[in-house]
Amino acid sequence: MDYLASMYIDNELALSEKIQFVDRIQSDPHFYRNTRDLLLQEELLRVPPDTSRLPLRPPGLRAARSWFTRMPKPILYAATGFAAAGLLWLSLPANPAPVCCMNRFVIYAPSAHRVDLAGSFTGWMPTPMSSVGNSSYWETNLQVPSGEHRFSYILDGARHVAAPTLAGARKR
Amino acid sequence: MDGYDPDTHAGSAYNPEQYTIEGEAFDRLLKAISHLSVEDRELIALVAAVNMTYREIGRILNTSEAAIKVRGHRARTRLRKIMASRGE
Repeated sequence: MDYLASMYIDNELALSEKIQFVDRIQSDPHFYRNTRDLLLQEELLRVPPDTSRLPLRPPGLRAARSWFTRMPKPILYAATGFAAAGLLWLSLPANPAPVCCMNRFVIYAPSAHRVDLAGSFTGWMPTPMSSVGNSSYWETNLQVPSGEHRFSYILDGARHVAAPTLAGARKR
Repeated sequence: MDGYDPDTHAGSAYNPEQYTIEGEAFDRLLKAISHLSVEDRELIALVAAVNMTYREIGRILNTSEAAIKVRGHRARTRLRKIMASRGE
């Protein structure tokens, strides 16, 4: 039942499970410490550095965000989820990062017929992404110089999808 | 920091020291995440970064809500052990 800690973090506990959880917190110091450590880790995961304080906002991003918040929830969740997964993929370098390297961008967009990637490293020019078979995933590999970048996915030539966690991503 | 002009932003709320500290902590986290399996990274991204429900994640990954519950917790625990082993 150790996963009660994660269920607590994710707000997935039913009432009866909440009772189990508080009982366990009170009776099991090891479970308490584990839960607290996971909460601290989660705080770091969910609150990336607020890079919005930097003057790096590309033109049109505010409009894209406005549209982004109006997306239907299932699509929003799916798109941002897999965009976030794509972001985490970018944190993969097993060796020291070279000055410039290929980076894989991945997004799950089942409703899209075409997906482009546009960012500071493309001069905000849309770059077509390739569909991965019939999986509804779209991908592209681009050389991205070291530094901080902004980008968004463009679905069907018009719908901008900015992954919220990308504001905290930093590449060196 | 492309395009950043300190003179333009003197006196603003931007604090370079705090920004650097937060950035380094986030970098350490990303490095630890890079040691997870692809499946664990995906789950961490979905439950933490995007805050989806177990049911929604299960639907997307074509697996049960119960499986997401257990796998998500294991991914978190593995990440914590990696962070601990690296002194973070």
